[in-house]
Amino acid sequence: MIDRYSFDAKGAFLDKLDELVKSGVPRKSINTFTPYPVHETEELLDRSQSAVRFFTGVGAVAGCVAGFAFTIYTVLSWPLITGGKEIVSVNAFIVIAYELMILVGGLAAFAGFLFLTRLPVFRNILSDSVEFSRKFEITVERGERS
Amino acid sequence: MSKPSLSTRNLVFAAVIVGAVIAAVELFLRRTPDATFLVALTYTTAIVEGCVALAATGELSKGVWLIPIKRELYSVYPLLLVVAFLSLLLGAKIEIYGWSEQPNGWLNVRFFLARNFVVLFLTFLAARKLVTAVRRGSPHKNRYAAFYIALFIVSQSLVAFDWIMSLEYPWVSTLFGGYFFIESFLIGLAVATLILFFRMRDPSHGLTETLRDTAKMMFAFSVMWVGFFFAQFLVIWYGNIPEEVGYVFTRVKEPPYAGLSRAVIVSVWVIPFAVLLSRPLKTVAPVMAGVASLIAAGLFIEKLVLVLPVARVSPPALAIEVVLLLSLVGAFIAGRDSIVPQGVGAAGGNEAGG
Repeated sequence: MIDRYSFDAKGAFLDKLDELVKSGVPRKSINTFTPYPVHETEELLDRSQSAVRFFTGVGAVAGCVAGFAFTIYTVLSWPLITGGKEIVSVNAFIVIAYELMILVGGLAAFAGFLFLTRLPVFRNILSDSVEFSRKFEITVERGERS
Repeated sequence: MSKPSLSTRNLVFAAVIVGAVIAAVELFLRRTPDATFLVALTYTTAIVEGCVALAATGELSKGVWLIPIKRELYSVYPLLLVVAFLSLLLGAKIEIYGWSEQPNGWLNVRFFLARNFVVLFLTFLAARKLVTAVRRGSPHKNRYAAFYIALFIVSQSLVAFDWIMSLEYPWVSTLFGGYFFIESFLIGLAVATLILFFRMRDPSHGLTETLRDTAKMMFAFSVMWVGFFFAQFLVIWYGNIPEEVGYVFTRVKEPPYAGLSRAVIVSVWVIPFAVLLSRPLKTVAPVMAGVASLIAAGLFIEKLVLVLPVARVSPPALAIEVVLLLSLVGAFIAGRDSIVPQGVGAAGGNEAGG
């Protein structure tokens, strides 16, 4: 079951949000829809820092390690001396590792974002189709998600 | 700080005295040709040009974050004239350049001194026009800011190619100019951070967000600096051409330069990168001042690494000249009210960032 509150003005919307939070409604069950970003909602709902950064960090480190591992493994498997350089030439491999760090870090960040936001959603998140237009909306989910 | 702590007259007097002392030391007391003065001058030029370039960039990009410290950054611009005149003293030390014995069309003493003086003087004029336009709130200030930035790039490139790279003529690196003006900009950011550190001792500073934004920029330019460094290094390493590789080999493999080169990388990139990744630390003024000092010190050591393999440096004389020149930079920043009066930028803080 979802309770919906609709407002024309930001002030009334924020007052209601504050009231709901103070009345003990779990913050996680509250969703807001605004015509433009209203940063006060983040403070009221006490949204902690996104966990996407952990996905990015792990992805970046994995990409960097994979870049070095892949290049070192291949040159050791098929050793060719090129331009008098050492077989394992870290200077040259830095470029590959750096590129893979960015690539895997970026893809992991995107995957983490999709995972944490439970996107994509192929159904309406509200029980019926609503046009919010310029309205400020608050929805409160009571009980289990259907 | 509402009343001027240092009058324009006192500042001009201090600049003349410092210039005269350095000229006397270099012309009469230390006649042996070495690179002491070159290192001090290169470093000071980078600081002064970098500070004004940072303010000019903020002007051009309409950066709100820079407004609270714009006056301090602009206030060092008269030192560009001091630097331009001091550059003529390089004529007395011209023997440190191998090409001076076999001059050619580009590298001959008169043209070398003249073009560097002219470019530095033009940079001073551009900075002066910019500061005047900013003081008057002229609608043309963006034009002057763009003009200064263009001259800053030319000037720092000339410093790189003429003053430093030609020490080992015919060794060339086309990236050297770009590397130098990125360095200069990074030193400008380090100076901006130190200015914020001193201003934030006042409890009602309201400069936390400005410090955070400056720290972000310092992080970005530290990464860009190491990118430029690696781009030069990798191409030379890959090419492995004897006339190119010798320059790098001496500095990254032979003691004591190898140790110094590592110290430069650690202080300008490794430590700042690790510290500046942290979001909360970006607003801790003492930590940011430490990082800024480390970057500034690292870039000073880097100038030494570039020069020392080909020319000697006298540590006591270098210490005296650097202290004198940096004191002058500090005095001009402290005397900002005389050079760029209140009303330019904003006196207060900028908690909103932007």
